[in-house]
Amino acid sequence: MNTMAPVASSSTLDSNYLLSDPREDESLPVFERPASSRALISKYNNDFLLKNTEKSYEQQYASLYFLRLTVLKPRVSTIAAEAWNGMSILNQRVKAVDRVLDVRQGELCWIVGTVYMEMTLKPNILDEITKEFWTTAPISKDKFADPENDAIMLEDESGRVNLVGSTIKSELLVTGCVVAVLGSETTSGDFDVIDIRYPQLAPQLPRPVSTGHERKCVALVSGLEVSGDVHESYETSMLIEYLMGELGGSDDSKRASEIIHVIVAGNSFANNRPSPLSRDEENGDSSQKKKKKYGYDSSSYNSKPTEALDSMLGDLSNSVCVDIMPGDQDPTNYSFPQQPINPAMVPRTRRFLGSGFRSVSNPCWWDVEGLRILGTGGQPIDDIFKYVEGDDRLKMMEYSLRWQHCAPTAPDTLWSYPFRDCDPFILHETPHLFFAGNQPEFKTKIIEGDDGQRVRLLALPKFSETGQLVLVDVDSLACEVVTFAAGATALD
Amino acid sequence: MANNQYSTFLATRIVHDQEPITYRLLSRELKVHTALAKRYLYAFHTSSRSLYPDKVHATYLISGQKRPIPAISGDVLMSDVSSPPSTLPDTDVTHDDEIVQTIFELVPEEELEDAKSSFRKIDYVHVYSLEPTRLPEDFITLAECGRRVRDIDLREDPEAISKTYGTILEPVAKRQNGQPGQFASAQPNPPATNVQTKSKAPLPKSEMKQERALAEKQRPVSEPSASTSLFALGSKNTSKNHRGRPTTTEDEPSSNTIKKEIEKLESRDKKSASPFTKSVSARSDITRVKTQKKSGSSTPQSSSQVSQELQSMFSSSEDENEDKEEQKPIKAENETPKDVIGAIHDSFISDDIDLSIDKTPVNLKEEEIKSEDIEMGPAPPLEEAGTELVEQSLKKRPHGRSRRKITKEIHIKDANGFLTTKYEDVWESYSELSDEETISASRPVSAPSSAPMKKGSTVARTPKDKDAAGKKDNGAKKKQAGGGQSSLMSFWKK
Repeated sequence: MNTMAPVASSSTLDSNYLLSDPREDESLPVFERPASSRALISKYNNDFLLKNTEKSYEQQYASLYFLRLTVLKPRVSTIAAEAWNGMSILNQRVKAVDRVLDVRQGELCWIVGTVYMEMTLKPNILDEITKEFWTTAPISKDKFADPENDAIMLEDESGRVNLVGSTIKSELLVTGCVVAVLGSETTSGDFDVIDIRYPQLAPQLPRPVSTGHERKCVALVSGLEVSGDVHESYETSMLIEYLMGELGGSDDSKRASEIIHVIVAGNSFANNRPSPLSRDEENGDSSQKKKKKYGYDSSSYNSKPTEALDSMLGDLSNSVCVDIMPGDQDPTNYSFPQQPINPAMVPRTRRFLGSGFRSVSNPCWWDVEGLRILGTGGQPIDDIFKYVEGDDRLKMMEYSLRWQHCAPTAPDTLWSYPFRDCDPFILHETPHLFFAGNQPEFKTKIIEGDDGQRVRLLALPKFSETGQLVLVDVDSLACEVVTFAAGATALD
Repeated sequence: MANNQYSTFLATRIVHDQEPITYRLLSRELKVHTALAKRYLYAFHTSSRSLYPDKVHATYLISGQKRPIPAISGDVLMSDVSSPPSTLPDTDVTHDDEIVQTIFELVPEEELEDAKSSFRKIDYVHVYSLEPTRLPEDFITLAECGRRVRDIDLREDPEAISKTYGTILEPVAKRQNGQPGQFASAQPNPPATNVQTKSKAPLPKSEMKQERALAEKQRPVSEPSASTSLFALGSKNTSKNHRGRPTTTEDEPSSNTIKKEIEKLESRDKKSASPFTKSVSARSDITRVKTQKKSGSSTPQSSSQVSQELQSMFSSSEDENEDKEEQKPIKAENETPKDVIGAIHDSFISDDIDLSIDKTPVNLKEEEIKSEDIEMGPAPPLEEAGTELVEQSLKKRPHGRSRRKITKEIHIKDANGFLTTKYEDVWESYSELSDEETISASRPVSAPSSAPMKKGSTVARTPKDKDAAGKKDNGAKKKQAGGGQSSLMSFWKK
């Protein structure tokens, strides 16, 4: 299944053939990308798109949790009922209790609710207010997890119950996921958990049977961090040359021509915002002046990243279809779901809007030749990472799918728009490829569901740090990593 | 393509001009397939060993798969599951999950063999670029070649690019024409300009600058009679005058501009307060013109500064002009009386350029920064005089009267008896026309007697009452501005 470039056999394919004297009469290959469909699944994506006119921040976030529970509770209940109904432990029959507060002491039952993690290290708005009166030592916020002090709670419309027991402590749980737990209430009022069930993988559409003629790939890259300054890493240029089919030999070009779609997953712009401190200093004497400013402030605005990215994407859009998704450093809203980067920022590329170029939301769903793809810029996974111990990004991604929710920690610690009508992050379908951008390193695996679902999980590394581009075969889900290295330094 | 055309080309560019040439740039310049260009580079490099020993250095590209060296690629080791297929990694990767790792690596010729040995399987090796000396570690100098390739590609039809150079074509991709395209044509060059000038100024400025430079080129075309004939009267050397004016007439000042402008004006005022100025002001218009002429030649520094920046603007716009041709109609449509004034300045400015070329020792870096206010770019012509204009300090009012914001230093004794310094912005009325006039007029003596003048002027420049100060200044200047250019300008303004 791994079609690596065959070892040179014919004379033109010899690895040294480009190191020979030129012959003018030789016909040189020109490749074209195969025609293919690369649709955005608007059924899901439309929920991510917020119209400015309809946006309202008056409502509370509670409705988001309520909506989530309403949708996911039946799904978990089905799974839980299958597993536990009719079961008896120590001659006590297990029964389902509808509401968390209806649990009676000593009674073996199962309940469904939203997990809430009470974590002392979690950022808290009340702390922020307290800080105005007292100063506390700053705590490192890389992780919120503190197993000694954290409390796990299960919450539904009625109330909240504290979950205890060794089972629950060892589980990977984050605020916002909907689970079913089996157990009984202790004398102290806690719920002692014996077993736990997740919604598990949502149904998956079958992938079309491959025709087998041509290989088709989706190329994914994230964290380009284009800065546009003089010391821009040269790997980015090599990446563009590769995707355009100019780099390397004819097999490399052929391989590149099999790429039917490029997804740029977040953080395409370098993060060179001025630090808040320097801004304060600047404001000190000129705040009055700034008040009357009209338009952007050229002293603090740097257009280089935008221009450099624009020229890059402009070159690329001519040669391959590109979708650009925002990440946490990109110039769009910060809260989830991130809205598409305004194409006006990339005027040259914008000419290809609708054909070779699209600006998409984060998260986003694609249907590329029947391959259903769900991807994020990586923020939900980075946020889950803070809740759990360890650094197994793939496991977090897997659980995200098993919770049927692609951003469970929104709106608790992952900033999010307070949706009123639906929770757009609930997964009604399992994608074939689930990727998270801007992860510390490349990792991938395939997980399988109970109903034969097969998902390729992909943690995309930052290109700026690794120089890696990931190709995923549309038919076989096989992965290939293409690394670009300019000089020995890049490999260390 | 003639066989030796490439060697001539490469010899000129690499050995003579000392430029690096990548295979892409070569293919664009000679209109050949990239694969052929790679071989041209190789052939030239081989022959250069005898022809130009030690003058041509090659950088190679190796593509293939690396040997699994944990020390180097520990984090991507999963990839190399393929080499020992018996062991699966400890993660629950299912069965056939093998990941192919392809690597494209750039290596200098000295390290080629070492690099090759680190590959498990080499797909291709080709010469990536030739350059006069070994490239820096990050190969950053090659980026310039990429930019030139982009410029060439922009002018060509995508399909032609694909056919000629072997670039993969996306059949679906369709370039839309219209608005975005017009925008777009301005895009590719700014990075290049930046590199040339090594300026630290953020890009928008340089872009604006280009636009402006473009406008300079275009306007005289659209308004030839007005501009040229009028300025036949004026002296070529009064470049200082015109330097300031475009800013005030049509630039939309940002805080930055204001600051710069203030500094500049202040420095001018220092000069203008000299006794010499008064005597000059008494002279007739004709003599003044003469003086200015003299001053222009006797103080090449100031005029050359201006002309330098103009020159730099101009040169940056030159290669771009083709692309920008399409912008012309828009500008022409929106032409307002303001633009006519602009045209006058511009024609003047372009006159100055000739001047600059023979006179100026180039000092671009400094000029970039100094000329920021001009570069800030022309305000959209559609902008009508309205409330905004009042707010923005440097908007032109009839007869060259204007208000500007200056930062005053105020010393106050606070409650604890400490002396504190506050900076406060105040509006001040002044006339920029006369300001400029006096400066150019006073220039001949400004150099020798600058020190005492400065002292005097600083006193005058920190006025307690802004209005009074403004009046005083302007009163003095008005006299000087009585004839010549200012009247001409006011004619066009009203």
